Amino acid sequence: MSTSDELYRIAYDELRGLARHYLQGDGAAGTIRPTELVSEAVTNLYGKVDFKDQQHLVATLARAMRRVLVNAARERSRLRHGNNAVHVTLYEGARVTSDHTVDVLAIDSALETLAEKKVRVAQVAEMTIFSGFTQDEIANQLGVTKRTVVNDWALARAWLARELDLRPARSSDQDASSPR
Amino acid sequence: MSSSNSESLFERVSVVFEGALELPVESRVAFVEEVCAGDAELLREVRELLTYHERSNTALDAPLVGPMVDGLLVGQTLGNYLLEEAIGEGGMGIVYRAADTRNQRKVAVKVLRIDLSSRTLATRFRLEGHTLKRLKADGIASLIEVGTTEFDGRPLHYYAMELIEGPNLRQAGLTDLRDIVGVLAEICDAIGTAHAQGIVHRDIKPENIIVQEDGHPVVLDFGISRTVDPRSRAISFATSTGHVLGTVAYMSPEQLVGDSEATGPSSDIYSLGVLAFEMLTGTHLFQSGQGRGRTLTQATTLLAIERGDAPLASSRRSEIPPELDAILAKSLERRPEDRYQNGVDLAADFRMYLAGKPVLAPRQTALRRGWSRLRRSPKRAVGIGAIALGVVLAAGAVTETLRDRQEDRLVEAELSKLWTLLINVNRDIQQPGNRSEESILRALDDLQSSRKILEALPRRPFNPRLARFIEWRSGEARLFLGYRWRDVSQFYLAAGHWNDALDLALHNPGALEGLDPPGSLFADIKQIDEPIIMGGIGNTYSAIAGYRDRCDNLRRARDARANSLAAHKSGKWSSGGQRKVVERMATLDWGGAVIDLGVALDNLPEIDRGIGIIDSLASESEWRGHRAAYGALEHKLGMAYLYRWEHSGLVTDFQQATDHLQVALGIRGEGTGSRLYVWDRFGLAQLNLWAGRRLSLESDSQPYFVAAQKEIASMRAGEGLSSDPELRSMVDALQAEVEAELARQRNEPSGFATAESLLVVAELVFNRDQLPLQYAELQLARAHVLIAAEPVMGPRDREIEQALNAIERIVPGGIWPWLQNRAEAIRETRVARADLR
Repeated sequence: MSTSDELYRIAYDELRGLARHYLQGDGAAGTIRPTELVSEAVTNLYGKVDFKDQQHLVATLARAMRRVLVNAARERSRLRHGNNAVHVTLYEGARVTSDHTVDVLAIDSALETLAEKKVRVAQVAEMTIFSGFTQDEIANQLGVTKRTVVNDWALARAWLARELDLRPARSSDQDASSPR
Repeated sequence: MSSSNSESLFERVSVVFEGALELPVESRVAFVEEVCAGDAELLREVRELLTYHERSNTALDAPLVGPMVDGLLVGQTLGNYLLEEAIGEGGMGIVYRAADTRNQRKVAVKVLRIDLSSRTLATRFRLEGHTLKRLKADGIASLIEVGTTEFDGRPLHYYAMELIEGPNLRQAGLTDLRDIVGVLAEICDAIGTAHAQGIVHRDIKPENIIVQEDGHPVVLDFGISRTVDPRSRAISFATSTGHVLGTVAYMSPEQLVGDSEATGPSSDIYSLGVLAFEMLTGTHLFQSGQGRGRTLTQATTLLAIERGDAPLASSRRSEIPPELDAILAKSLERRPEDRYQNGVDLAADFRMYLAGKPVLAPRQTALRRGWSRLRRSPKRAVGIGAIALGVVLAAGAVTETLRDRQEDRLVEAELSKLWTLLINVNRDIQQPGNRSEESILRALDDLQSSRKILEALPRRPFNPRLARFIEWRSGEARLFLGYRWRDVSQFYLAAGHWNDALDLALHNPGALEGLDPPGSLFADIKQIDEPIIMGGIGNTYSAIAGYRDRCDNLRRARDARANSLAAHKSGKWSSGGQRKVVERMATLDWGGAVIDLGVALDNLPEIDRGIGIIDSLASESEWRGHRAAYGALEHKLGMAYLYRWEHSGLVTDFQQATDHLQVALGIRGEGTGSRLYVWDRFGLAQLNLWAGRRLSLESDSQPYFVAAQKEIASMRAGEGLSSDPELRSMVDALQAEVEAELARQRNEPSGFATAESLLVVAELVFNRDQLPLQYAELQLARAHVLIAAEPVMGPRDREIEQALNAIERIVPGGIWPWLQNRAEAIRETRVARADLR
């Protein structure tokens, strides 16, 4: 297993563990804030892992966080599909301020399409959306200027927004407005 | 579109798009049109993207992740404040000790969580801050400044206030009644001062009151909660210290309704009442029992507040004198206008008590409490009918007879409306197999309307028999919704309705005097009798036990079943040929409840008692025409023997369990339309898993695990799991255990990965906050999986310990001994083995 695969696996485990912890967590009533997860994961991992590959830390965490959220959203949508009211809040917790419903699964698949067009733009988007790191850190990570990150994110944001707008609502979301 | 084409198009789009962004908004279109001249596709793409770029509020602007600010701010300067140390954390954000750079004065700065930040909040924050800054009084931590600053490109809101140090009211450890009352009076003074200036606190709770070294209390966070969220319910203020309750616990009923504009000083009075109650008795107002480990859930609190039955403080702590009972009761009146009107009045009454003078609040005699409960009860509220009548009466110069006739006509019209509503309810609730969420919600609406009509019915005494019927149907509807929504608060509501129904039945067995419902309805109303209601209550408690305080609720369920059976036996209600069947069913229910409790208590004699009760009924011929009940009986016996075998290890018990579950499965198996067979298969799988585990040291246990695996596969193949994620997650957990055992025997690490992922999926459903008992049980499965993994994957001590600790935290003393004992047994085995090594 290559070093970066190993790192990814560790990051994923760590984040999933944290997500689980947050789902049980005190007071948080079953919501998680990915920001905290990523930051906490960094703190925890620094003690445990020899980061020869530190360059890829941000990217790896973003990728792992995306996977954790996507898996949770999948599970949730599977539950929803059965038209049942069990409420898995992981995904809701990820939505922080806006009135919009963010569909993690839709973002995930849109990102995949974007990556086919231009990998770097998709990477910047992934890190921005899923890692919680600053644009400086992302720039550092990708070895590009901050200006590039700013531009790439502007493009990705517009492109993703259009993509999400055009995509038909997935069936699993259709019952989102049911009484519970 | 070929991929190379689209790639180059995207590349070109990105260049033009970036170029456009360099320009001011108004010149972008011209620029793009110029650059893209002759390339329509490129032009369209870029223009569309620019449109989306300029749209400020796309789905993506709900940042999934914001920059991490909390906790990172020590050493930073916000406005005039240098943050020195984080000293507290709440749901809204982190509190720092800080230095005012202008005068080196120490202050407290509360930084709002980044996700609470938004532009509207900034405005509201400034406006409110302006008012609050003027509030200066003894016992109130003054607000120094409200500020907004930019941090990493996002707005960050904070407020600086006087730094008050000391324990909060809950930590202060006050025990002497007079000391507590003295402190309470001071708190009321401070809050009264604010009231006099037109400022309401809205978030009074022990955490917001600091007791200084000199013993004087200081109130924090005036008006802040409303500033942050005008609905004030949406944010949980629970802190990270394990305090499960949000502010809900101290909210007045009108605040709970969510109309914050309607909440005034008297709303603070209610919160002060809850606070005082807690300080004086050491228990929360709506805490059902004493002792540690009992947590009050949001749902039960909400329901209790809604029902409005505040207990007397002296019922929790006997030395509390009637004067204090009276003061608390007046503060906790359900209707705001019945409470003290502001903090000053409440402080004054506390001081009257301290001075040994008569208090303003009326003594809480039994009669008075009865009355006020009547008045509090929404059931007796003045309904629409009465208002309508009032209008008719106010019409003025009508003669007595005319008025009588008008009333008669009104009664008739109201009654006919009532019968229509109730007939609709019967249709919506009783349609066998055809009940839906919609029909049930409709029925609840109709029941609400019926209740109003019944209460306001002029010229007829309040009719308990009919009220009881309405309560019964309401309970049925809630029970249905509870199962459908997996929502324990619906079960509590059902229990509430049925307890009311029982009250009405016991105290007023009266008939339908003066009321004449249509025939079919008449029969239905007559049919709802005490034994049925008691049985229903047993049902709700069993349901609640699935979610909360397992043994307590199973005990209640058992008692309700016993009462129901006794009522059936007294023969006052049922008669003739039906009587025997009904009695048998009630006996079955009772025996089942005894077994359930015995299992939860991990108590073999109790399980045996249950088996004894049911066994006497187990003659198939007597259940002719009642296959479903007979299936339930066999299942119950099978499960009882399963747990019996767990204690005894006797082959005969194993055989009994298998046989009974097989019979049940035969009756309720696939193809019969019943999904209950899943439970039979579940029992068989569990039996085999446990048997395999028990034998694993002695002989080849693989066939047992394989058998369990087969049962699980059959469960999954059928329809039974498709609409029940909770049951599916139970199966996931069980399968995880089976896969892990097989993986160990076959030395296959991949099996553990399967097991682990099954557990993770189950855990998404068995969320610790919403389904604590299921979550705890899942931790037992996790521990078993980890133990199975150890020989192959190496020691897992820390994780196993974590799982066991979680169980102990969630089901401490007596809540669920079965689970506790299993966790304990694992721990003992491991300790013993470690000693051996």
